[in-house]
Amino acid sequence: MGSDHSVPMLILNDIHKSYDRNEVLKGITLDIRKGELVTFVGPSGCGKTTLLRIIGGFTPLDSGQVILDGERIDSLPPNLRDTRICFQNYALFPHMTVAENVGYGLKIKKWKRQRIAERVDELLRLVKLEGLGGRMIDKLSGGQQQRVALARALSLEPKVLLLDEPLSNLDANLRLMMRGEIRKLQERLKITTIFVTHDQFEAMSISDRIVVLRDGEIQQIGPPIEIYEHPTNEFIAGFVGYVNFLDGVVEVVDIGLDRATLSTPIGRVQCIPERDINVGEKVKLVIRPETISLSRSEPAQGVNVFQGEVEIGMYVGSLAKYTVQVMGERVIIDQSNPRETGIFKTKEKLYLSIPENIHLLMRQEINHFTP
Amino acid sequence: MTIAEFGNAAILGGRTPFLAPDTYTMIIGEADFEMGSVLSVVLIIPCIIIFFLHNYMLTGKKFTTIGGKPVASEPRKMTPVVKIPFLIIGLISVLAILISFGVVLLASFTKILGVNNAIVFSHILNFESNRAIYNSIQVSLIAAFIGAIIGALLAYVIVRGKFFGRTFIEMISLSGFALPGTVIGIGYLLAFNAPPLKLTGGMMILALNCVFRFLAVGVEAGISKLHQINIEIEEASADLGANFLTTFYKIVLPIMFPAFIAGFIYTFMTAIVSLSAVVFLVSPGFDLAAVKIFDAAVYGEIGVASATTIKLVFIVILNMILLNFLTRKTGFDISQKKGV
Repeated sequence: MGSDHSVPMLILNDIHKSYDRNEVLKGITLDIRKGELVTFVGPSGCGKTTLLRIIGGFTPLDSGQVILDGERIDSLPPNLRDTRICFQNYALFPHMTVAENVGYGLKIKKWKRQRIAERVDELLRLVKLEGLGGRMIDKLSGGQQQRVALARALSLEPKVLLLDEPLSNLDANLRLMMRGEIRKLQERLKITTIFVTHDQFEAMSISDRIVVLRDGEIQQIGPPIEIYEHPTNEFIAGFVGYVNFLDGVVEVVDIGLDRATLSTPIGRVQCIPERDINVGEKVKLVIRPETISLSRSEPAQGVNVFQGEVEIGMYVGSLAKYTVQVMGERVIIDQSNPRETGIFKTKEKLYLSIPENIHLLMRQEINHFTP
Repeated sequence: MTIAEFGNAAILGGRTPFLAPDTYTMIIGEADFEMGSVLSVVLIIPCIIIFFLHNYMLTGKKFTTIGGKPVASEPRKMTPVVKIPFLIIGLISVLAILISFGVVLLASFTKILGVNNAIVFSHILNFESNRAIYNSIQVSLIAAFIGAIIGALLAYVIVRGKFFGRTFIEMISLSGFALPGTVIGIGYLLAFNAPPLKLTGGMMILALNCVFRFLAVGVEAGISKLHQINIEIEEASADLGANFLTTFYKIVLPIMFPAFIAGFIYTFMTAIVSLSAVVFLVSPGFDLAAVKIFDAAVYGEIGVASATTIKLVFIVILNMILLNFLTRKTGFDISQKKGV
């Protein structure tokens, strides 16, 4: 998506970091391409902010390398690195005006007064704060402060922009809007950006690639769709949205038809295997709630159709969420556009159909920490 | 603090011997420095015990100064059974303070209060008293200025520094408050009475003594302000290319300025009324107001003592008003000062 796939702008090589024997980063290796927006996502304590601070130069690393545009920077202080950070609480200078905040870095770099004024104006236009240059920081709303922080970080045209949970202090609507604006700005300026968040939906919606972190290790790197559709373990599957897991054993593999039959607690499930699987292998089926469809009458196409009873129904407007009992297993199902598909009552007997393209986790990918 | 009390014990104690005034007599009256030093050590012991006890009881207990959203406090209804006795105790305390001020005020405008109640202005206009006040202001201003600067720098080192012995520095910088003034005064007298560090007999020893005795004030003001400044603000400055000095000069100092001012005024106020240490260090011909009050009271010149007191009280009240005004203007809450 608009990124230059050939040139790595930032290379992280086997980064380790411990605090008092507690290892928070356990060998992080990662390439970030020029112009790419990469999100570090993970539960709190996964090391994402520490990693960002190491890149920015605020936290020293124990071992490993940080290479920015071909130059090793891990021993440089923050003021000598060509990275700029936007802190979670913006860290604006409270005794300065908006313009003084935005122009601070330029002044340090000894730009001429006239040039600073022009650049500040340009930046304020960029973040839609024209005319507010003379305001004091405490006279701004949260969203405006966020924009000032962004403009300030962009003022020196950094090679990499670091955003540390930039939207977490904003209310839900503003968050959604700023998310879009940051993405638009990033694509327009083609600036390499690392975005840290604990919000998987934010990560999904804004990123070129997502890096899922957990306990100081990278779990998976990939574009949002890959993370969502093909998570490489249970943790990731569960972290990026709700998921139904079903234990299964491979019963039949039909190479000619490219189909496999799995026995599961709800009955036999047919699927199109993504990889080579063998009869007798234990697998885990990853079924997203929105892929299952519900109906009162039996569907004409008869593959993977099961009968179940509605246990709980929740109408949320844009969708209806159901918990359905199928052979003693609880299955969560999301029905979008519930007005069309019908709203079902508790205890109602329904037919579920599960699509054949089911993502499977192999035995070694099944871990024991289901969130 | 009461155990090391000097001024009140000396003047009101009569013939009952008290530790601090006796130490004073030993040194000033009998020039017995050895015995004076011994008494100082005795005086220190309970103070040190209390200092450690205080530290011990406070460790692990965090005091939140600014905690989230402000909630308007609503006055609670109190039953008269509780209210009335408390009100009486409160009123008696207030009255006791007002009476003592009132008597002092009367004494400064009468010849000899209770004996000859003729109204006179000679006490208020007393030249020596005024000169002592002038000296006190001078010394306290110097002390306040140096104290506020050192206090702000120390506070920064204590809060932001990550090095071994940081707590030790903090304790030392605050110890001036815990040690009895009498002890510090004698210490200064003995330490700076001879070359290479001969400071006695000047204004500087008085100012420096005040600086280090009341350093805690500036340090605490700085510390509580720094705790409000998120470290990320300094990191943001570094991130934008500023080195440490630039960050300190352009970001930390301006933000700490209210704390600096508070430290300045506090040090000034405490320095100008302090007696126990400087009483050992003043030289003939350079009296300080507090010492003048003490001497006058000891010689029975209650009128001059009272008049000088009134002037000092007036200066302190002016300072408190100023501090209050600045507090409201800068949002720096003086009530955040914690500890002794």
